[in-house]
Amino acid sequence: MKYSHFFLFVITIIGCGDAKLTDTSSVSTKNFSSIKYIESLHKNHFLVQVDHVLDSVDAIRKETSLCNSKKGLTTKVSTKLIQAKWKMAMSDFHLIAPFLSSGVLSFDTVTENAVLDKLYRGGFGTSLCEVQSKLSGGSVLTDGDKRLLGFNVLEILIFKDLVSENNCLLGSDNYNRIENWLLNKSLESKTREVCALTDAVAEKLEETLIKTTLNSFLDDLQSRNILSSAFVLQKLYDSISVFSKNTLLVKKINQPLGIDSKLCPFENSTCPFSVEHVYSDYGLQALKENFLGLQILLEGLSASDEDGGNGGLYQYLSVNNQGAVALDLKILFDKIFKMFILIEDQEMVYFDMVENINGAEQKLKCTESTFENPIVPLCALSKVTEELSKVIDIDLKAALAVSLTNIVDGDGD
Amino acid sequence: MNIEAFYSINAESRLFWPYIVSSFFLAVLFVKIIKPSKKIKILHLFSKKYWLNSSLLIDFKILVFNKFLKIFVILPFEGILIFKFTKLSFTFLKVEPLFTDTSYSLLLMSFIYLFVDDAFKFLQHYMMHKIPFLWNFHRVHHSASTLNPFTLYRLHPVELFLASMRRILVTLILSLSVMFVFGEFLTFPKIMGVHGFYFLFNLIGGNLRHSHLPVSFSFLEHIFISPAQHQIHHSKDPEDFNKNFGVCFSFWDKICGSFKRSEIDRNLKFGLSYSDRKDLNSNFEFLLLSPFFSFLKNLRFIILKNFISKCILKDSFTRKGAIK
Repeated sequence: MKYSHFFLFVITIIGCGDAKLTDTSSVSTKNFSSIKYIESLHKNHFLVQVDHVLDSVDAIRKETSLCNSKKGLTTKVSTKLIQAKWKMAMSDFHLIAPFLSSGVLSFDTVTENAVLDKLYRGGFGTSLCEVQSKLSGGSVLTDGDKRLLGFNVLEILIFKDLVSENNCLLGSDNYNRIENWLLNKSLESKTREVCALTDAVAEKLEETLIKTTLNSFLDDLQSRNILSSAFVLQKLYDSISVFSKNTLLVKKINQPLGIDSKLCPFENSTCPFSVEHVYSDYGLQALKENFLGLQILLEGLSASDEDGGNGGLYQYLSVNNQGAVALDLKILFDKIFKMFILIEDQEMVYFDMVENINGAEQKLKCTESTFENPIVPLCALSKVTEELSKVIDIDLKAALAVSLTNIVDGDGD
Repeated sequence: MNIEAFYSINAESRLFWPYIVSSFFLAVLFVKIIKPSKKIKILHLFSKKYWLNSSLLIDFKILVFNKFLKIFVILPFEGILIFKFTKLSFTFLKVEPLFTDTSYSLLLMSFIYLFVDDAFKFLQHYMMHKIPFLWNFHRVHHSASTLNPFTLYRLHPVELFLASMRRILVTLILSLSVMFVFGEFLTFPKIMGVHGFYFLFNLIGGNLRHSHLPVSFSFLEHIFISPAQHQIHHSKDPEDFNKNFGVCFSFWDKICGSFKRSEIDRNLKFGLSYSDRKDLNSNFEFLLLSPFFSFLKNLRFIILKNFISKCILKDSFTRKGAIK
């Protein structure tokens, strides 16, 4: 055998198959496994955050167990504790909310809407506007309406002294109606009602989250992954897409700013979804936490191989020659967090920032605001989020469609 | 370049080691159990004559050349083009999916993909044979005088490029249709990242198609193309010319009248007919350039023919007319 013959034989056997060039922007050139990606997120992020939420809920329920005795919420200390714990629980919940938008981690069994349905009627789809109109029209409230109302009342009561005095919810007709409906009672029964309500909501949250984490998630994932690893990425994409557009952009940013808000325009400030949708500093913090949660979902976790981590969607895109889209997303997240810094530096409460936007002159400034020229940082944040939503809606979808179809080989026969 | 770059450990390549091993065992089973002919012996697979010949050397050279071309030119180009078209479609075509219940779509998509992909492969192969210009390039593949697993990759770069065009077309047609009909990404059951059917296809002897073992599928040949049928396609016997173009399914051939069942006792010889071989030789560079030479030769001939018919003959007609 000629040496050249032998050399060619060896390199063709071991090398240069149907290779794909990885982008230079790729963090790692390891193989990407969608199952490892989701498992790692589940184990190292989702379960950890759920544990935190459950710890807080446990602490709340220890306090609210007093409801069973006739004492009710008697001491200020317990109220403060409940407030602090509830705030903490919700803060952890915001970080996992993007994972639940399309049941990516629980595969349809428990979605964010299912979680929230326990707390709000029909999830975010139904706003207090409807309940408010029912109340003002003298209609009979359904159990769902009452639950929605109850949760909001609970949040209002818990956050009453945590949020800004300018909180539109507290000063609204809606709030007065809620107070009249639920709280036009003696102090004792009022505190007992609130205590019982808190306990019920905490119980629902606990039950739902435990169900979410104890479902046969991994078995489900394994069995579906055998059929198609693309299924996991499909679910992931759906979750990211729904969350970026509906929750972040429409419900939490544009609606408060009065941009394209069909359900509850800013002028009708009596209709926020809940306390975290009210333009309080708490609401702003919740928004930031949601963005962080979304970023974690996209980036994955840089866990070691032993922990089952192999990078996230950005790595998947890079490995599949779609690193440019990953880079676009990274840049947009950088911009978003820079905008948050600007907003936080404004030394103005969120409510005032939003209210300030509503004059004609301010609206013009709002329209002119961009990331490069953030005259009104909130409006610039809205623009960047819109851009993010568009990249997710078109570029990411196209990149995933291309890489998932992945017809390789079959050059000839 | 990632780990999938290596042929022998990349399930997308037909040279993936489990495919080679399974093909070998199938070959042994075929020879020992079915015993199709006394002439066929498993030791032939290890003979010097089979592995050390100029045809195999050309296979290797083309394979290496094409892989560089594919890695640095074709695949990046293919990825960019599909992405741009897909993005454009998502930007301008905003339609609600026709079906919201997609629980059955995985299996359906899988079959649709299989049929459409195979139909396009057949169509391309058919055209490569029937259109003289394209045959110039495809005959490089048919110039192999011994068939081995590497022959699959013995393709002229132009054919590689045309295959890429076909993949782009199929990917766009399928993935966009699925997205607009089901609102989902095109996906199918995969084994080790490969379409389940193709994985099985390769595992159950895909490599035997390019071998000298005439493995037949018996009556199933009316549905699936067997290795023996593909070997008929490579035969240099004029009776076998333009038969069995199919890759997976044989019914495309039945439709187009190019179907031929295998005959085990035939002793096939592979390669080109004399007329096709005469302007090809086993020099690698010449093999790559010869289709262009042939094209230029034909072009020159056509131009000359046109020139003669339009100028010289017309003139003579005119002169004749004038004489009249």
